[in-house]
Amino acid sequence: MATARRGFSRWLRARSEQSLKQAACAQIAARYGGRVPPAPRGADRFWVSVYAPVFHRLPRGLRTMVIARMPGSHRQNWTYPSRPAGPAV
Amino acid sequence: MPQRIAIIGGGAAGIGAAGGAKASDPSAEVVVFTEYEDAAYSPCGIPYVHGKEIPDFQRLFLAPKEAYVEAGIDIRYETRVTRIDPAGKTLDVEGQGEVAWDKLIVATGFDYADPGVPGSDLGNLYYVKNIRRAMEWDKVLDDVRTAVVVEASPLGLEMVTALLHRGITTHLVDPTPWALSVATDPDIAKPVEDSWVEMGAQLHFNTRLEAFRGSGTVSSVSTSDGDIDCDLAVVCTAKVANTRLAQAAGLKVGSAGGLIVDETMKTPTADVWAAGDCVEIPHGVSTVPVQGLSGSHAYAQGKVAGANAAGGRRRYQPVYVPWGMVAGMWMIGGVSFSETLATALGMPYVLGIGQGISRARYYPDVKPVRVKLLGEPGTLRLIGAQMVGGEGIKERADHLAMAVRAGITLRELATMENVYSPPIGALNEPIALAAQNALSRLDG
Repeated sequence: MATARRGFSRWLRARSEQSLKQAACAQIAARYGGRVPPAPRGADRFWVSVYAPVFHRLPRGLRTMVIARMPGSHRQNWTYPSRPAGPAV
Repeated sequence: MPQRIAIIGGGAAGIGAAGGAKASDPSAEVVVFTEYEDAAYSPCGIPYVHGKEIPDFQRLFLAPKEAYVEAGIDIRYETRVTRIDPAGKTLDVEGQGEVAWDKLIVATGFDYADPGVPGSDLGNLYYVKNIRRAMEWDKVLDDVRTAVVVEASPLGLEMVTALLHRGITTHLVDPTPWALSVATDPDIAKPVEDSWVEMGAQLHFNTRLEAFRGSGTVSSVSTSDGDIDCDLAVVCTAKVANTRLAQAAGLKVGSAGGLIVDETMKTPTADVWAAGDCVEIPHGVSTVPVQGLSGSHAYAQGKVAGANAAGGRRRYQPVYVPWGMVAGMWMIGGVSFSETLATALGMPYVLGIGQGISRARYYPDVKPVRVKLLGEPGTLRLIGAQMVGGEGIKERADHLAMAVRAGITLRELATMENVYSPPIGALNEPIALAAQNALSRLDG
């Protein structure tokens, strides 16, 4: 069960990343006059035209929560840098 | 009785781990298993030998084999580990039977993503990885007139440039709209692409690979844009963590496909550590785990894993991923987020763009430097950068990675001090110009 969940998480992340990147490339290309990615076909249409806009409309906190719950190294113990305060010497 | 630390993999992570273990516990018995004929060389240098910038492959070796013997590191070359038994603390090793260990470090590296098209088993498909094979391929390149590079990954960019330097007619096929389309934006990639065209490259962006065709060896590459006749195809697809052995032993893999580790590079499995391209590490800004980093990351992770496996206490840290390379006639680089990646992830940002120069404007060989900075709205903390220029890109990427890590803001960068010396630095630092541009946009 756990293995299946990890496999699904990897698939979901890979598929999600691909569609979000494709949608982002179209936006950024329009901004800079670059080459626009081809229009999505088949199942890609759902991912690029439906999934990506819905993902971006979700509250950022919800997106962060979903990502945080995916299995991965980020759920292990990691120390993030804290910003020092006060003078250096 | 000394503890035995077994390391699977003789790349940057494996050799870093061996050195880290020996430094932490000089009495430890450190054994490295590698499938290859060599260990401790720089595969990242291979494209530059092919491009003739580096005269021979020997220069890519970090140390002779005797150096590891003298250091007390037992490297078993051309030796395949076929099974890990974490409970029994043994490895099955081809030709050597069962080998016991007290601590294990998995540093099995990466595979290139399967192109997933017909003809992937043909000859003359070059996957740049092993130095001995690269030596053989280098001789093949003498007779290659036309080559196709598959995908504009970091290695793809280096190989396009190398093959052009070699005088080979080079096609680049990539399914995305521009080179490195996630790490870079089109305005950063454009000078590189233009320079490739000037050097004779034929670029096929927004073009899907459909098949490798030929009889025995590849003679053409079929794409969504038509067929390209060629003598060789260089497959530069994404780096995928090689976790087969570890997963078969029950080690856990995360959403990026790498082995799960904590900041000591320890896996959740007792007495097993992992490092390098087979693991995933959280990103310092997004906290999302990422995989497939650079050789310098792998080596540093190996050092930490080795030191800790031997009983030390060292920590690795979340990554900010500074990167840079020579591509075409330019250097490009950056850190963390491009506009494209931030947009994909739905991360808001403020943008600053600076166009500066690398030396005093009157000094010979002065080069342009374009810098884009992304800051977090509100705090204005730096969250990403990209650059393209003639020189000085690597140093700026390193500097900006530390700036992201330290939480430096665009306001601070706008007033940064900079070295002014005509041969090496201009009056106005392009990073400061970009930060000032961001502030002026905010102030309307």
